[in-house]
Amino acid sequence: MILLQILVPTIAFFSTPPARFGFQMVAGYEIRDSVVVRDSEGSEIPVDELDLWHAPLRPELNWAERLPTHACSHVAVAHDVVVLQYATGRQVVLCP
Amino acid sequence: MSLTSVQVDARPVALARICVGIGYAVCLLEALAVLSDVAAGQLSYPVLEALPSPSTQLVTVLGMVGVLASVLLILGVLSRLSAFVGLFVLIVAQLLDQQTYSNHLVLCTLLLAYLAVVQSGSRWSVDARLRGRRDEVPWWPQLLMMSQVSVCYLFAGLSKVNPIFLSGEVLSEVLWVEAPNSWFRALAIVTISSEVFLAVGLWLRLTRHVAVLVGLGLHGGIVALFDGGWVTFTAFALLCISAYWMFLVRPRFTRTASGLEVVDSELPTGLVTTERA
Repeated sequence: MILLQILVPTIAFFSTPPARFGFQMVAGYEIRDSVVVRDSEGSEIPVDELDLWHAPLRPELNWAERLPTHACSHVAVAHDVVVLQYATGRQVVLCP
Repeated sequence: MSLTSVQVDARPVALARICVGIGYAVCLLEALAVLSDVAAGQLSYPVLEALPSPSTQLVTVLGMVGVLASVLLILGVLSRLSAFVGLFVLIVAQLLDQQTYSNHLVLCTLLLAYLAVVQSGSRWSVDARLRGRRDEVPWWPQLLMMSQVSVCYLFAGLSKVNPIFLSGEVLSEVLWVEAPNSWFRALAIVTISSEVFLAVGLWLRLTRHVAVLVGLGLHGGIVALFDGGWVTFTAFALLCISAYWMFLVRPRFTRTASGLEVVDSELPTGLVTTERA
């Protein structure tokens, strides 16, 4: 059991941070993460995050998986969403 | 003699039960806040698409059951069952949406799992009042709680050994105090050193009392200096500190020809329990 207690966070430690089950608390990997919803001209659309998702978003999640689709469906003039995360880098996801 | 036969004072784990019960209440409410937002139509991150989405009714039921489990755990009513129910509620909450994940929630979940098998209601509990108290309980589940807290500290410290944290930038952003960046860089090193020291120092007789003071200072500093989130950090502190007394009275073993022997189990009152294989 103790070996399992050590093994799981060890695996997380050697995974791409921030990783779950690794007790990686306030380690700093998420400090530059950001989400920007843009219009067709590339200008940022001010978004009240609290209206759209439970902020702050967990940094262990891949925000590009679901957040852009959700944002696009709730922000009328959204053209794309720029997601920046430590683990995945900068991704621009077009609204459908 | 096996580790499972070692008996220790029941009071440290009773205190742990109360601390974890309070920490659990906070963790539960945080998870329910996430699930409430998801149930209200905010962004969801299902663990498995096949699992049901959280509904307002389900969140309410989880909340009622979870809060009841928390209260019963703190009071020491059907302690093991309360811990198990609390554990079950937390697991369900985490399975309903990935956004409920947090490191302190995972720690709480694990500590509840250990409490579900430890006799934490033997002292300072309604259980003890109704059924009679037990002064000694098996030690082995407490060993798991202690090792879990140590692992948490170790990896919390090691994960901070990176250029971002060491630059002081993280602390300068999350703390409300203003200071030269050199102070935050120094504080970053102190933080990492403290956490790694705690992972080891709590186990050693020579350093465990100092380690307790370092731990109290670390958690107190986090609660006092972080810009917001003091409730969460207090809960996290309670989860970690719940094991401190166990470290202070950890039994000491020696290896004999017949196997492991408990040399002594230091108790605050001076009561010593010795066992031979």
